[in-house]
Amino acid sequence: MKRKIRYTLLIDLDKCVGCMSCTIACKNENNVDPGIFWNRVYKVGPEGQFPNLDMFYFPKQCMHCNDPLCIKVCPTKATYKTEEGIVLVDHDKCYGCGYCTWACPYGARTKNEKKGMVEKCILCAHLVERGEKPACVVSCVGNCRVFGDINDPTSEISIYLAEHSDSAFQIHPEIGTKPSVIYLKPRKGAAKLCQSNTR
Amino acid sequence: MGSIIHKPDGGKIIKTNCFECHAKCGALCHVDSKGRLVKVEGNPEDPRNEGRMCPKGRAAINILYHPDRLNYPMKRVGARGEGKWERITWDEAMDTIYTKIMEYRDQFGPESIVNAQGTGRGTNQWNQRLGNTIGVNHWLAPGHICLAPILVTSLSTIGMVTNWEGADLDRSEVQVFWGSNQIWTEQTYTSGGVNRGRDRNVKLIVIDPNFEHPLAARADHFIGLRPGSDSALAMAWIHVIIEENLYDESFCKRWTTAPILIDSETLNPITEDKLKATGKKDTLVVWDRNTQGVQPMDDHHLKPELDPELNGYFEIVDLNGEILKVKTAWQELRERAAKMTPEKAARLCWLEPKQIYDSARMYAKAKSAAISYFQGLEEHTNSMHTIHAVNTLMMITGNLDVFGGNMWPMFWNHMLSDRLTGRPTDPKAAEKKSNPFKLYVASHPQQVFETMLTGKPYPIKMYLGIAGNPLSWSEQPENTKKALLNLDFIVVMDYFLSPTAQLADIVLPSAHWTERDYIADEQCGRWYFAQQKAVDPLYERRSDVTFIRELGHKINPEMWPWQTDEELFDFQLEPEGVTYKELKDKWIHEHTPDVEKKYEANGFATPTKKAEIYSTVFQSIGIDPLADYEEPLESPYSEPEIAKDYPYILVTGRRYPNYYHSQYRGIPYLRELAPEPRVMINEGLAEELGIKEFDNVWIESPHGKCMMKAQLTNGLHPRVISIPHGWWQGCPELGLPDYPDFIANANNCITHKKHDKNTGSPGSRSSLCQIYKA
Ligand code: SF4
Ligand code: SF4
Ligand code: SF4
Repeated sequence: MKRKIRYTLLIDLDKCVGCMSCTIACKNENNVDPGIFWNRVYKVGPEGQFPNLDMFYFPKQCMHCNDPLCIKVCPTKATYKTEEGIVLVDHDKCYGCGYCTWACPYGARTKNEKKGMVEKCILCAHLVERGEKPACVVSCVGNCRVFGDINDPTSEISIYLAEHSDSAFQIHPEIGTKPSVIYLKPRKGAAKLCQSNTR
Repeated sequence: MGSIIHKPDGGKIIKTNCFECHAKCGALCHVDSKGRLVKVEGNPEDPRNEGRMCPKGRAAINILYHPDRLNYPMKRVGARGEGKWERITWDEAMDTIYTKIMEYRDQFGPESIVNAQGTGRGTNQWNQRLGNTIGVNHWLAPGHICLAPILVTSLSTIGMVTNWEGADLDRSEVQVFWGSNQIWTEQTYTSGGVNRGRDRNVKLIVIDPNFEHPLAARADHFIGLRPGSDSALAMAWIHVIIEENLYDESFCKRWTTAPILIDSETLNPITEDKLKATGKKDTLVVWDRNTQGVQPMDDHHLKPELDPELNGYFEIVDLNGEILKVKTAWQELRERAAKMTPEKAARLCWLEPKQIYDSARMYAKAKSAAISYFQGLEEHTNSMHTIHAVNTLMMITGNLDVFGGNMWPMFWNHMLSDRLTGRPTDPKAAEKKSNPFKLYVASHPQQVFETMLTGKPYPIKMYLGIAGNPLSWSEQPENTKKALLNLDFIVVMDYFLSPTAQLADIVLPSAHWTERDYIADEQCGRWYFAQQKAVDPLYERRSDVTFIRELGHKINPEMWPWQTDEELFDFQLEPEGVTYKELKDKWIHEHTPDVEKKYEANGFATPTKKAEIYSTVFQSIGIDPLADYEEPLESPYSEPEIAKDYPYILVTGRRYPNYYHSQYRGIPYLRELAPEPRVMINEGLAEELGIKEFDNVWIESPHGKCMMKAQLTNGLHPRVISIPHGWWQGCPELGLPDYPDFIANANNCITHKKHDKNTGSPGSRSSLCQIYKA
């Protein structure tokens, strides 16, 4: 039997340098309108008193959940999940009611008022289909984004995760959405800041 | 297959290089069947960026097709700066410019025409050649705040430029980022080494006043020093390294000028001719432990029988039988370092002594350690001593031109060679460059502006600026504006109508890197790349190189015999034995093999063939030959009276990953990531001063002020204020404003009267200031 593919994105926070190349790569790859972001990089900190400080960057985008809340609330079934675990919006069906933007616990979705529909990261499905990596992964200056099939133990992402499983965590696992984005904690600092999210 | 890959759908992928910063990432430009550029991404085949690309590079399409780009040559029809333009042909533009140059040159001499540029990054040699063709190579550029202090200090003392791509991060045990944020500004050759370094658990030291440096939180030591106190820190590191015997004794003895004997009083070197009749005038001497006497220093032909003494005072007898009191250069360095205890440095740098001890030991004990340093060391009024002190650290620890240390990228030794920049036709006229600084490379910008204003010592009539915006980069920009307005004729070539271009009589449209052919050379490590166009130039935009070459040819066809850019590039590449066509075919060309200790073959590129801890070049022109602590000209310690009213230290020019200097605030995708100029201020200090997040505040120095929005942070010392530079352009698409009349110009606060006495660098990163709510 053919093994099921599950595309997953790993983000190693130890290596993210907050350069926002992922953001621009995404915008140009997908022609995202100004004012709308399919991914963004947040700066957390600096916390503490100079010079004893802590800071890290936190890139965020659609989690491509295995059990997504956005699908459950969509009245037109515009939002769907592909075989490989990519969550997409069918723009022929979406009429912009915006329920999904409320349902998504990760704030990954934005309503494009001009177009009257909801947008978000598509995990560069059009590139992945051709065997390429998502634009943000290719561009990443910190090499902190690793993409691939988590069900394939020989994939780059599986190997990377195995090597760093101690520091892996997901955002709000308690909700039960089973996100396909896995983070690694920075090796130094930020421990307290990440604690609440550790799986 | 070549470097252009044709796709079945009629489109193609062009291998080329980005030009949005100096470092020139390998890029893949995707062009569709209609000839439109549709995607720009990193080229994994570039051994430096390996496919990675920063936001600026990724935004190349947005820059290429931006509606505000200059598209045609235009001439001014209204009053200066009024904004009334009329489109003209290139022929008319070229004829007018040529005629003006010839007129002014005949009437007022070649010194009356100023060739100018901005960052250069690939046209330095051609702009200089144009200057030499006109007769006086003013080369008006922001060199005094970027590149020149490091270039001249390093080339004179160690014969190489060893920061930037020289820092061999990928093989180092310890990585030091000292006043350098190159993971944002030149990630091309920085990110690979840093990223793999994280995997290798490399030790990391970040020396920077700003904890919001993207690597600070990951560092083993974050040294948040007082801006401008770097020379004190470097001397304290030298102190620890010498006191604790952590230096590379053999390298210091054999490969540096540390053991040379110098006069104990004057510090002048003792030469062999002073000691014996047959002695040579330029042979330096050492105290040999084997013979217990004075011996000529060897050069790169090391003499194994020689064992130079590093330490001590000696009395030696000269030619006339008189006793000379001498010591080794090392002894002098040691005494200077002895004065800078880590405790004293901690007070000067606002640090803890333990941070200094620990970080110095970490650097010196590593098998190899690389220092990435940059403008954080240059933009101070003490840059020469600071840079020489940091270079001295590399020398005494033997980290020079070794794998994992600071290597020798050879291109820098050739970039400004006479072969490329052309010798001035009239050497006497060429001396009319105006430059009061011994270690500055061309006419010093502030000297030129002064000459423009006063007409002394000669009249300046014309400014010819190619890809430069001095109304943004110069100290006291209003003064610069007055100076330019004093001229008869101004030509500016650029992508956009910059504040400087707005003053022009003729503006010319520059082609973007995706629409022009260049060679990627500077900051490209061991390689040349064919930085070839992906699309034909849009409208009537032209490559800067084409313009310079054609103008040069009109003035002096002998100096510019080339009919095409390709022929010009062939000339540059001649020593490599490749033509531009061949380079284009293969895209990448290795010009230097990956070898360390290149100095073993012919020594260092210095007069002594040694790495000059004691600089014979400096000594010969009356500059302090050794590293030392020097206070910035305007600091709480050098100017305590001024500091009473201006108690904070101002760092201008903090970086963004999405802008390059004054470029690209008009590009929506980039602008929305950093929509407005913001001043970083410590949270506690802001509270004390009643300043809240997003308040408009004035940042004021004794020399001027600018207004920005407050950004509160814990990442700065309560006495340090940090502001960005380069804000002029608006972004109509996002409804975000421009900043006319210098209101947000960081350089208002920086004086144009105080510079490092040798390199001519201003105090852009260590001036005193006050801050208050607007
Ligand atoms: S995977 Fe593609 S769509 Fe999603 S954030 Fe990255 S670049 Fe954007
Ligand atoms: S491109 Fe990579 S390093 Fe840069 S901000 Fe995005 S995730 Fe972080
Ligand atoms: S780092 Fe420099 S060369 Fe590389 S993509 Fe960015 S601007 Fe272009």
